[in-house]
Amino acid sequence: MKKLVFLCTFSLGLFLLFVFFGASKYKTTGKQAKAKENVSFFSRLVKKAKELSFTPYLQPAPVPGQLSNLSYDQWFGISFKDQRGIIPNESRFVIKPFPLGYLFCQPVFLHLITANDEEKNYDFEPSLFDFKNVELEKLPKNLGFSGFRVFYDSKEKGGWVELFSIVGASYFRSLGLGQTWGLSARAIAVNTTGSSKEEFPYYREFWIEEPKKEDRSLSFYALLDGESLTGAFHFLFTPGETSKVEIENYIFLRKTVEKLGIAPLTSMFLQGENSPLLYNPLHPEEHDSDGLSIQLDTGQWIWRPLQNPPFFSSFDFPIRGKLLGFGLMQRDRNFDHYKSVLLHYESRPSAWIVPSQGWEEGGHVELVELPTTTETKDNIVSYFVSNTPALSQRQFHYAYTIFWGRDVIAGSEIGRVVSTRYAQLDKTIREYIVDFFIPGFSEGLDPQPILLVGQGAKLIELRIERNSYVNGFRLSFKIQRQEAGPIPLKAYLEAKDFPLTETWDYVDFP
Amino acid sequence: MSIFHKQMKAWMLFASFYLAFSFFFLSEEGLSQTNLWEEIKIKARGLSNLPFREPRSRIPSWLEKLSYAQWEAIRFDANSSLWREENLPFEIQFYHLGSIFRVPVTIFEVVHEQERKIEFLEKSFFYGPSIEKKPIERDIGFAGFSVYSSDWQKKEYCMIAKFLGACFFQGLTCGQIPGITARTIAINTALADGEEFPFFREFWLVKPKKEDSELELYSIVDSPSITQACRFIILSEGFSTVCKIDTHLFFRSSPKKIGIAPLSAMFEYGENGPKILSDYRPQVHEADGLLIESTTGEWTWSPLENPSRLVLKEIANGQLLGFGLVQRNRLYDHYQDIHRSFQDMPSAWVQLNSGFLEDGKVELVEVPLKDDLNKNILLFWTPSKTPFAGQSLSFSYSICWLKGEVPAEGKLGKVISARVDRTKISQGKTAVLLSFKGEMLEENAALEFNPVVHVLSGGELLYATVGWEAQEKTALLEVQIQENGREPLRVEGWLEKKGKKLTERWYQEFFK
Repeated sequence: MKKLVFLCTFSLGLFLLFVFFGASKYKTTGKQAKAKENVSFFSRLVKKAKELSFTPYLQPAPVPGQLSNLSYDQWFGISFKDQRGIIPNESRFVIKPFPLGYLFCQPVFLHLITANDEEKNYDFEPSLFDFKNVELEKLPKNLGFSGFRVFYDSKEKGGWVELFSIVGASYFRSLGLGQTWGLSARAIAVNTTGSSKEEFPYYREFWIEEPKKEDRSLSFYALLDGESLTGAFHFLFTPGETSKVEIENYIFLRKTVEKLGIAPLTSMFLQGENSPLLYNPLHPEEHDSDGLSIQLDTGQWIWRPLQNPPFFSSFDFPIRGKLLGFGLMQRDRNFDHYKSVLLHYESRPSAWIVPSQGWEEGGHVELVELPTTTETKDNIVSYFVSNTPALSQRQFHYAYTIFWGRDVIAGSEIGRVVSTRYAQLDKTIREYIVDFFIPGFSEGLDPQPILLVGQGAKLIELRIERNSYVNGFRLSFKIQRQEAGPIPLKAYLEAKDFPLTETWDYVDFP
Repeated sequence: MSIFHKQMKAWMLFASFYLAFSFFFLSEEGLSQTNLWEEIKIKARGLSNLPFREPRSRIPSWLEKLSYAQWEAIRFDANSSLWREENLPFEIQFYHLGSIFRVPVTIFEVVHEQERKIEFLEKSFFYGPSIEKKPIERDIGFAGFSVYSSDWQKKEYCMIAKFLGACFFQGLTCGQIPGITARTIAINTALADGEEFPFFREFWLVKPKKEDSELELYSIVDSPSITQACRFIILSEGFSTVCKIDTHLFFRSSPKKIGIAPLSAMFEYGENGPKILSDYRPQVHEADGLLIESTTGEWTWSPLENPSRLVLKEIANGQLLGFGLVQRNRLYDHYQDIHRSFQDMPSAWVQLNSGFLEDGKVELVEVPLKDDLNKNILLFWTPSKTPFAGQSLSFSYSICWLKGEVPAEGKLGKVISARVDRTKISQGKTAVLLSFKGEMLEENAALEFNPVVHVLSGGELLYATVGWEAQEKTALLEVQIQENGREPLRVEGWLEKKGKKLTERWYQEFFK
């Protein structure tokens, strides 16, 4: 599975990158001002992306070996000199480019869009960076960068906080004020699963709108290129307790793509409450996310606890009706469950995606889980797949918002899964313990459990008990396995024929 | 002059087996409470000069045949509690004989220096529907009893102590459930010949006055090797229940080993062991560590283990002020058992008063355990010299049953969790992550802590790093050790600043 190895290696680099950037712990409640989308510019960019898709794909220019041979530490040690970044004005945003090097060797060119809608290039020059102890031969000018990072001036708490970063292939990520870097997103996923080789399209160019003094949002555009597709992207980043990244994109297919993943997220799950064994016993849990959440317009909520599976696994969650939201959540916010003063998993963001334009009914959300033995590799991917095949010459248009933070889903009154545990009672029998929290939990409630055990196992015991420790109920059941494959399990609680809880949607691995 | 004194004299005149029997027939003659303790000691001494008599099982066979669950279904009617009508600070409830509880205990009430045998009454019990009950026509005695204390706030009575089976007793504070069990004595524990289990023969419960804050009770314990006179003074203080104990031991023969102030607990698994696949609960134990206070003021914490074979650890010499088994982890979240509230079980702290010579030592016995029903941890003090027949020894100590930490340890940082990674044991590597919490750490958190870690045997330290988590007020110490594989790994560690210890000392022995 070559492409998976690549995915892992790639993610490893990203992981290290983000871990070492760190984040300050300031919070803000400032109002978010919205920058206007520069319509005429974006339509020109869309046209450019479309035209690019008609031309054969060209590999990015090779980067001088002295850069690609840099170690992570060497690359990370190179710092952008100007503390005010590339737009030294009075705004609340500081933008600092990343140099090329290490794993990040696809050059991306930066442009600024001024207040008068003028475009100007921001070219690479070695003198922009302090290379510290790294001895390099004279680097050519106009080499390009590998991406950029955004600091926000959280005036209320007094300080600059890094809250957005975009570097490597089509990756980017954000987080809420006071949080720690966690999961990432990508602009698009190409053939993550299926028989075709996975591709990693990359940003060729960025256009950043110069933020004004009063702006609370930062707007920028990207041209994406890859073997099978091109894309025009608009990003609007609004920092806050929950940071928002609003995205509008146009995707143009050069070639037919077997699996086109929309709004992909990449995360890590090494071990949790539902893990049979701990790879790192010093820490009870280690994960950037602990579940996939899906909201449908039928009122149904799906909760899939993540696993570190015994083998490569992918699952489709069919969407009947309209997809209202989905994302990878970090529900467990208890330091005690992670016990890490360095990694702070309890303060890593959830990412919740709310579709707006272009999302037709149907399709499915796909969750990919890879086995891993270390927390330094991302092993979880989720995205949406449309029912419309991604055929050559087709174009797609999507708009959505990614919310990054602690409480990214507002106003849900549905009962939620608090924890999933199991015990291996003997060779074939497993006992599952699922605790549900019920908002407004009261004495009078007497819910019915609904449980579906998929083919390959039979239910041998089912019990529901009040669990006042979680203000809800404990569902426990035993299954006897008759076949070797993964077995789907679904459960929810209902009262008066109405769902009281989200659907716990699990898979039992042998 | 009391009946005991008279009989003592009679015994001295006619030291005969025949007359000794008359000890068990007590008259209604006046009994001086001040002398009661002296008399019980004399009685126990006298008993030790007689051959050991097996307890007569007088219980009807249908009771013997009850399962444990059926026995549990026999419940005492709280309205029949001793002293119920009188609104006293304490009440007594009784346990029925049956199932594994076959040794009848004779219980006396002592009122105004008069003793009165408490009669077994069938009507004081509810018998569960699963029991095919037959009439009980005689006074069969009791299996034991529990002490209830009035809770001044709630005006309800809550259980604070329980005496049931062998020489076992348990203390707890209001609202807790019993966990750790104490014994009046342990004999030949962890020896190849097998352990001896002394048993309570008789109890005297002194009826409290309205203004009393303490309950006084006495008992005689008997076994082939020893007899024992015990005085218990029980005091409930809300956050703790204190049981002051004076005990005199009289040796019939010379047991190989005796354990004084023994405490036993169940420890199936905890944070320091590998994850258990066959149980969904993260931790299962009644206590998670052993705490020692030395005369030099040092406090040592050793996490308990469920070993793969019987392990006996000599954990302290006689230079100590106290020892105990502590249930430090008080979070439901770590146990996840909604039926058995392990997080609410009491800790037990023994404070030594007299009789504990400096050449004695504290031993911890850990026995492999495959379930959560039995106790596999036993902690006690043992003297250096084996006692001889005819010898007598006396000890005075108190056991505090606690909701929280041992108060005397004060502000010192405490090990709230010790996680162990032995997955790289094939490379000889052992890693430990310790979480410390405590006021002294918080007060000194401005500068970096200095970790002190010593590998006392079995390997060498690779690194020790410490981090402070300000939001959680927790210091985390990560230790990695290269084992040499030749001798057991023994490690100690603590945190200090400018040479001043800010935490208790963590001490652990690792076995393969």
